[in-house]
Amino acid sequence: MESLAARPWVPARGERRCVGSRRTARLAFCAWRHAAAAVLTLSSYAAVAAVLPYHGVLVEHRIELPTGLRVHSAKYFFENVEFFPKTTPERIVLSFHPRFTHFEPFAVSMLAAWGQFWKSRGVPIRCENVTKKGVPYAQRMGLFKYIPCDDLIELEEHEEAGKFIPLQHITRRSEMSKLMSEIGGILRDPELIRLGQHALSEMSRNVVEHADAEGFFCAQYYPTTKHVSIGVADCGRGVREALEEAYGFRTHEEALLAALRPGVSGRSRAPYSASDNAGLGLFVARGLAKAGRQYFMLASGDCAFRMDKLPSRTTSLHPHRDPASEKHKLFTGLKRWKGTVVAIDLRGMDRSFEIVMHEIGQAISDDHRSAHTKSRLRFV
Amino acid sequence: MSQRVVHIAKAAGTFAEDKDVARSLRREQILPAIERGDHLVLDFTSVTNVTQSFMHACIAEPLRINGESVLDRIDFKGCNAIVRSVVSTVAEYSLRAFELGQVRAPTPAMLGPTDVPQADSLDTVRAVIDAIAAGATTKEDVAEITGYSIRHVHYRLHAARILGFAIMVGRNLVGPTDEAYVLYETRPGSAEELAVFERAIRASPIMRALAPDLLSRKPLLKSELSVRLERRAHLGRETAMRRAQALMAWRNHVQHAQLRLRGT
Repeated sequence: MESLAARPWVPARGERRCVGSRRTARLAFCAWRHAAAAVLTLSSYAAVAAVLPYHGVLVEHRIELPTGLRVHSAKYFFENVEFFPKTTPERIVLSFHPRFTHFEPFAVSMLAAWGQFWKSRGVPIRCENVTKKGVPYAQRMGLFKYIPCDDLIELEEHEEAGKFIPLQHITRRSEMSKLMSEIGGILRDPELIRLGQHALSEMSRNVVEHADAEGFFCAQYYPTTKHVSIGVADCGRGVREALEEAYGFRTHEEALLAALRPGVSGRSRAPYSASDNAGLGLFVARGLAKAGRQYFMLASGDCAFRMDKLPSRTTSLHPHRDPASEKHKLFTGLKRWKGTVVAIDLRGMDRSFEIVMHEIGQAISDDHRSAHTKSRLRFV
Repeated sequence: MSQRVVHIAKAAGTFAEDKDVARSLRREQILPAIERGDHLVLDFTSVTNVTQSFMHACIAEPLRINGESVLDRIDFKGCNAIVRSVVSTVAEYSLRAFELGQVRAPTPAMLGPTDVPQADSLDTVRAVIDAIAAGATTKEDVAEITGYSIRHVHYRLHAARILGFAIMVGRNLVGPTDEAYVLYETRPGSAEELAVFERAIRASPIMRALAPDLLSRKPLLKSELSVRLERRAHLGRETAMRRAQALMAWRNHVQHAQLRLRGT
């Protein structure tokens, strides 16, 4: 009888030759299948990519918003949502989260500014999941006046007073005093009113003077935690370009960190030397947020700076001149935001507003000169 | 000396934050009163809150231009603790800006796009220097005397500052330096004028940082200078080329003048 080892193996009809064991063969076949699928996918992308740039057409750009549009989860939001594709699309689909969306005011302001940006360029936006939980809040804030949508639910109009300020358009002709009085309408605490008015004044002036575009703001008071969140956003020049005349920052990160220091203004490189602009608005707003141990966030271009909340046991609440010395996160390499976004949370403080302003002033001033200057001032 | 009272609450309300109002108060009431030598009273009675932006737009410029001495002629009336704090802060940094404007020698690390001269012609820079040495105190005055547009006056004053002939604080003209008077005394096109310009170019800290070899006898290419300006002053490529062209025009002016004077 011929030995099995000597006999050449010839597969019978329908029988495959196995390479090694059956398990190895199965693994090899799976690997081959995945590789083939990858090659096919890449080929199809390559084919599409080869065609699209030639034609320069992006037919539909789809945005899927995450569930949390909050300062706390801002990194995920800015990293994953491409608001401004490189090629202008023919239409945009804005899909809210299919289960629930938690909006904070900065996100509502951002979406309003973004909607206006594309509207002015004739790009229609279609919204999806507008009846899902959380989206009616944005509707009540007035978002869909700036992003037209047909499928909205009928809302019972509640009195706004005491809780929130719906979206306000910030233009050159805005009546700033009216915007200031809106803050007084939702807050009862006189100190919180002064904080809110101060911060809002600085932020809205920044839009008017530096953005070269219209902006939006809205605010929400949270009675449980007794804090107010204010969000201001525009799709204008952005921080780096606004500082271009005086500084030649190469990255958005450099520009943001500089803008948060006192005395940095796009009007002049010499500190405090522009007649109408001291370059202190963002520093003061940051100081007011820190006084209540709350969040402050500035985002522009591909970078976002977030000053984090401080524990209640923190006693040193003077703002640092260098924002990098605060407890913070700096996010870079984000999807580009064309323009600027500011989110500021304010809370009643354990010190008076006068003392807080004095502390902010001390952080700006030169200690050596401060006492001498005070001695020359004549208060009558 | 007469007294001028400016009622802030009447113009800006109890929360003084409107910078447009502050700008109007500064231009129409505060600065003219100071220029006339009046005693100025800024009445903050009824003002409960004020932003530093508002206060800056009101008082920073008069302090930054005139210095500490102007505080002897300003009373701040009816100020609560918040207003006092904001006044003190703005006054302190404005006086600091005044001092910075007196002497400013930037280090290479501080150089930026606004440190590179844009005026092509040293003759036009001379005309502007002559105007301020003759008594012009604002850009508008200089424009009237020279016939140049405000924009070109700005460029030429900027060059004059870099060469050490004018003191500027931001975009505001403060006045001529001693060297401006020395230049003013020379005849245009003369050897003395050339010597003053050469001295100014070689002595300027900004020119030493950007183009120390501008007046050397070694060949200097515009393209090389442009690359240097891109790197040291963080300029874009096209802007750097244009600015390099302006500096090369200065070099050519000095070299041609040297040749011409040697020939006479």
